Amino acid sequence: MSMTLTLAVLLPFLGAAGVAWGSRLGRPTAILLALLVVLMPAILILSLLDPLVAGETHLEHFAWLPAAGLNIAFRLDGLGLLFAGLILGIGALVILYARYYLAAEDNLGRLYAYLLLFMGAMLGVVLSENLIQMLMFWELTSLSSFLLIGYWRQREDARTGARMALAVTGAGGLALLGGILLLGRMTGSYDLSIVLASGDLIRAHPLYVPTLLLILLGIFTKSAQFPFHFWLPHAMAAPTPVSSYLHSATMVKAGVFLLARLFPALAGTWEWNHLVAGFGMLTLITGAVIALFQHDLKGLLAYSTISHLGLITVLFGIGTPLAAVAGIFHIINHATFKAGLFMAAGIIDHETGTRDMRRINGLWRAMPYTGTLAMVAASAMAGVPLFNGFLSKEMFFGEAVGVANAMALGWLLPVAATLAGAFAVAYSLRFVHDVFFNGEPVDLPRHPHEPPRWMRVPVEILVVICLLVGMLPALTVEPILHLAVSAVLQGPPPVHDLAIWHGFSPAVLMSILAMSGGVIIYSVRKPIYGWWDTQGGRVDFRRAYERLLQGLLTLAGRVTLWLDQGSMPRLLRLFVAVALILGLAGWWGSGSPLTGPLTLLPLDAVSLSTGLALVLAAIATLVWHRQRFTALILVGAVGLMVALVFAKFSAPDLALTQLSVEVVTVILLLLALFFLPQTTPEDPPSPRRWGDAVLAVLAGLGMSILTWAILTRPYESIAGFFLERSVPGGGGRNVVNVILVDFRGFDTLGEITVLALAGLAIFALLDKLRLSGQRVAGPATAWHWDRHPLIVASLVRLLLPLALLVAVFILMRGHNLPGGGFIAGLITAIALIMLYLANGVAWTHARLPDKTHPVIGAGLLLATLTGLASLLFGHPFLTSTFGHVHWPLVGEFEVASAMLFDLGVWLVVVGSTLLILIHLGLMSDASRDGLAPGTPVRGSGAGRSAGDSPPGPGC
Amino acid sequence: MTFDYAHLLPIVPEIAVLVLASILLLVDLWLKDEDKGTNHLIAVFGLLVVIGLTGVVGGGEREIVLSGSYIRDPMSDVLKIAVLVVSLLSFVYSRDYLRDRGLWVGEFYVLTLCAVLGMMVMISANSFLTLYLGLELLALSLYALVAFERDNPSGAEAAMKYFVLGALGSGLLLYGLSMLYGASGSLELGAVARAVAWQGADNQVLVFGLVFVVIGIGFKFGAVPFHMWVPDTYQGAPNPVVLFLGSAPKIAAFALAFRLLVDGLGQLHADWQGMLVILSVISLAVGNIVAIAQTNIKRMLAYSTISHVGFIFLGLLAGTTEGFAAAMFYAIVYALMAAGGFGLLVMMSRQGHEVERLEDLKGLNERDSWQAAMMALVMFSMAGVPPTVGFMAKLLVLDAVISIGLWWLALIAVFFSVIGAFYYLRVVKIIYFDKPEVIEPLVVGSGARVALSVTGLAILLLGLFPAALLTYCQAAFA
Amino acid sequence: MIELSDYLMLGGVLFAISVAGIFINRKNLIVLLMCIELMLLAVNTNFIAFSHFLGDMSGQIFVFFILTVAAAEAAIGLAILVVLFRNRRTIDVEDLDALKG
Repeated sequence: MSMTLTLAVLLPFLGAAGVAWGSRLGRPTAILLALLVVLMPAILILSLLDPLVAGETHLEHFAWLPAAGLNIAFRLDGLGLLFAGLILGIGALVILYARYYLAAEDNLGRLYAYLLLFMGAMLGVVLSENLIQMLMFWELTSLSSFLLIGYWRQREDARTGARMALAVTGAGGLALLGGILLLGRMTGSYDLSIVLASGDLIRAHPLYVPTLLLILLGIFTKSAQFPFHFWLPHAMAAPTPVSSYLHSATMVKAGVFLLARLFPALAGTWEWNHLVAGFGMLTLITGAVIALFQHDLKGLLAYSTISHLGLITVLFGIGTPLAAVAGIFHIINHATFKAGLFMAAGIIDHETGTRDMRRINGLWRAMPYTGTLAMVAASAMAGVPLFNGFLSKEMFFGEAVGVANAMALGWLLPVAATLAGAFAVAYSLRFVHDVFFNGEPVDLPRHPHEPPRWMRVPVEILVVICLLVGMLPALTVEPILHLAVSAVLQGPPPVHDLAIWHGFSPAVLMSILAMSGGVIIYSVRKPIYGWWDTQGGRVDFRRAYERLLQGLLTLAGRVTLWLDQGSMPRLLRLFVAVALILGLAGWWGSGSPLTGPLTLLPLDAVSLSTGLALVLAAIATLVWHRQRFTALILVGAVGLMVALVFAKFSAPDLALTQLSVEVVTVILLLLALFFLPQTTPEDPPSPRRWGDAVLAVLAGLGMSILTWAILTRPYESIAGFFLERSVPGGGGRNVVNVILVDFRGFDTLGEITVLALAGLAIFALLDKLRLSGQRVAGPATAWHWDRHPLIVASLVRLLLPLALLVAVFILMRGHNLPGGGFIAGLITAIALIMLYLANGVAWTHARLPDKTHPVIGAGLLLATLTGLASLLFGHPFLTSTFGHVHWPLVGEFEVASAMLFDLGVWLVVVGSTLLILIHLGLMSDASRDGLAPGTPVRGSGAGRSAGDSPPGPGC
Repeated sequence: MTFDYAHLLPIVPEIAVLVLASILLLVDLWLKDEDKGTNHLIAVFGLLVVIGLTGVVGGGEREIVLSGSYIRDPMSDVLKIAVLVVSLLSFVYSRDYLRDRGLWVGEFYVLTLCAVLGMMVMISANSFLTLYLGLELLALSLYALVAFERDNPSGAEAAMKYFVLGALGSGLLLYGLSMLYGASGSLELGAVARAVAWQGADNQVLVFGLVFVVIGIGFKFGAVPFHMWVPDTYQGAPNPVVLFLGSAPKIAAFALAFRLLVDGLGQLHADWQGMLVILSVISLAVGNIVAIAQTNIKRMLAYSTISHVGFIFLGLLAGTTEGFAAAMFYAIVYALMAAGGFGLLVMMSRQGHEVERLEDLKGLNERDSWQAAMMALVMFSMAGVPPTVGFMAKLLVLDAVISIGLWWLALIAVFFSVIGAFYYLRVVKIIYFDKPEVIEPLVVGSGARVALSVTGLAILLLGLFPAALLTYCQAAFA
Repeated sequence: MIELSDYLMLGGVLFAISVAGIFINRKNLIVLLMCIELMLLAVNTNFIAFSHFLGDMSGQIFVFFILTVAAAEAAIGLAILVVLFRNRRTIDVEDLDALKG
């Protein structure tokens, strides 16, 4: 398996790191290293040239994500070769140029590292076979260009420009991702070879239009097409070498590259022609016109670039093979002359210290050599014969004329082309005339002279190419053009003739019109500038972009305000409302009838009374919720009632647990109530309250409907399923019981972990916390003067052994059903808490620890390790069954294991419950003791002081 | 019925965490205040041991133990290790923070380990009960942890809101589970699935139960409109708790959703798919849009979480092997990214200054360029910029969604990702372009630095070689 | 004979009341806690009823578990409430609005 291309793409990335490090050794080392990094991929790619010329496409595949059908794959064909050549060739020139452009205090190594990073990403884009992989490199070019544009971090315009470029091209890249995903779905592969071969399938697919739109969005943003062109001028804040590389030759060309790449897959439809040619035309005109009015040298070049990108886009939009040839040809030509022009502009900027064409005048005397170079490149840009720009422009004019009859509104295209041509001539004239002639320089920061020798060399090379291609196209550019066009068209290129003179044709007429028009426009420039400065600046898409961002921010703010107010009732309301809607939707969507076949049975007295009591207690809780004590008692009553229900269902264990848990919970709440406000303030009636009531009723209704649906459905159907299922399995009920025991043990371990966790959490939250209790709420709520009545104290002390006895009994009884330890633990804890309540903290504290961590920890360890120990003996985890599974040899151990486990459970429950209750209790008790040390709080003396609420039943 | 010790091996990692918590509880009592670092060491090394145990015990065919209430399968192996690794990273990140604020008491570690245990139980749950046990272990620990800094009023408010909404969410989930129990007659997921298949989807009770279950899942994930607890909790809780709360539990939430919706109610896919579509679209929309308006970075990341949840739901709702693998990949990767992002906030906020405003990140590059680069990497990854792993995760999910024909859904997701990129890039801009308000360089412990580098490296390497993780995710559903 | 329906109805009513209580009440957090308790009771009633009528014990065991968790949850809720009250001197539901976007 060949790795040549893969290596060629990876080398710049490695090189970037190498150069960043190597630049410490000085600028010469940095430049040598960087050039070496450019040279190596070039050699690697050239080594693949022979098969390429023979017409083969070089492919390299590596498994990457085989499960998702993704491979790392590179391809080298004519188009890739052409772009790789541009990227590496102009890259090398830019590296050389940047060495002289950058001031001594700027970090050259960093610039080179970024440039190489970008170069690697660009190579990745043009050499990728896999589209997803191409997209990754595509986004990487956006990222690295962000770094490059923002190279001068300290400058505000650089930061804005960098962010704008990243935002626009990055977002476009995501749209492109969407398009590629759709493309992959249509063709079943992300490999270009397959995608390019399935053009007919794609064009006939119902998803063709959305796919095309998404892909074009990616292309248009990257290639700065109207209306996304605004980011490019702002990117001019980058150092000029960067501009000449990214914004003329490479990055913006990535968009048109993709246009060419996907040409066989997407082109040839009505939508393609009109969208691509249409937006290209708008871009062509907009860019050309605005370019003339830029006073900034680089601004002029930026808008000119936009215009030329539009031209290339139009050519691909026209969609004929010959137009594609012209498009590719113009990509080459534009890259060479525009890179040269940017470098020339950089030299001028470097020498004069400004880029304002209203100040830079008459430089011919100071730098005639640079002037000559700039004039050659500018002539190519204007499309003057004998320069390369002329050839592709002529071809473009020819194609535009050809379209005039073929498309709706086709006549617009030749007109627009001529107009844009005229403006191109005008702004090229301005670039040359304003800068090198046109009177004396105005107040230049520096005294200009010719740049150093090696700074001019890159420009010289580019200018020579412009001339050579312009005069001897067949000898110079034809071979590579041939290769590239074959790759674009996926077939032999059409017959084309790269001669300078084809005989008289409409295209020649258009050229002449454009030339003369351009000169005329330039001659009347002064009044037009005035008009532009007052009127023309109005249409600014940057402002639209900023408004869009501002709008987004405003929208975000509004949504936040509406949704995110931090008010708890609001959150709860939303929650319940949505639950209601979802439930309704589920019911609506399921389509099954609400009422099942069953009718309800008449109620009997017992269940009616229990149910009624339960409901009444619950409603009363709501009604009297402002008297929290009453409410608490009522909640307790509901809990007890539920315990009764459990008992009725022959679940005595459960009833017992429910009972103890209810008691503990009520004690807990009582302790907490002590130092929380005693009454709830009145909630004034408001429309919102009514809304809440409606919502509540709706929620209730929803529940009733739900219940109705369950009730009228025969649950026997499920029972039938169970019979069906359990009979072949064998064992029937026995299996259930075995499961239960194992289940219960495991469940208990979970329970005690939760309990231990709760105890610890409360300890962490409340340890050593002191709160002054709410001594008063209503006038009738003074605490009794005798907080620890003797009778209670002695009774409880009597009760303690009794309770412990019961606990031990339950612990023992439970040994063949693990979990007895749980209830036993709760009972013990309740008894101990009674001790606290009856005797006070001080008394109990002397006898019991307040930190029960070791008890909890030891209990948890004991229970867990018992489980682990049973593992050693080949027992099921935490079980000690007698009934259904027999192990005659180890029968005795079973008892021991279960007992130990229950002991652990008991320890954890006692420890945790005590920890919780004590820390809730300690807090308040300590405060009381602290407030009135030694003496009981007497009567209602202190109680009245804050009794400003009217007398009432209170608690 | 035969029981041999192989039957118990699958739960050894959970037992180990429980033992670790008990040991910490006991050891902490004998530690003097200046020796509390031992807690940290025990927790970190203990977790390393547990990771090893999980690896040793894991692998091979699925096993169902403890009478059908517990399952160990390739999915649980991967998810558990992911949870453990992310939790380990969280501990390492928070070390200095906890030390400086005197928070490295035993309770913090025990509660966190209980939460880890809860997540592991959730991941391996094969019955409603086990699932609920795991869920509550996690939730109760988190409630307490959010209020852990008890002198902080916003911490208490956050905990209260989290608690009330969380209890409501659990209650709704439980109510749904009781319906499902009534309709299927079993708590065990496999049996539920068989019962559902037996009676088909036209049972009203099943559908209602499903609605409540989806609400519960939506709540635990923090999907819109059940997201209200997320921003408030993130903003109010101490940074290490947010770090912990915002990362690993997303992995567990994925397990919760998968166990309930696919293992239990896979037959009702058509019903829950519609609900998840709604939840994911509004999560993507609200999460990304509201995040833009936030000035508090924790709140911004909270809304970003919400939008990522939308993506995880997209993968889940596809209902294909490919989609589940993508969602699982996304959940794990998100947890890793979140650990990195919040970890940085924890590392930066020390000595009495809690980093939580966006301005606090200003000029981070000038104070510590390594941290700045890592933060930028995390942000790029969250935004889904290649070649980070965040891009890969999004790509896989989108691919899964398109492959079931919901291409418009994928486009919506892409659209909101574009909007989302806006606020992530703003963070990058603040880090690199803005002038710092405080010039003093940051002091970072070596452990945290290593953890951060590991996270950053993982974000990059997994982006370049996603097969390393994706293969496991796909094997889990093969 | 008591039908399953009665108990489910009971569960439904309890659940609805608790939901109503949770958000109609806007002044007292304690009532919120109580309503959550109530909600879990409703769930328990459902489970028990189903368990009984399905002849499957596992529902009962689930209820054991929910009971414990509910108690632990209530305890933690109270502790948080206390910490909140200490910081804010209020347990008014409507006063919980310091955290917002």
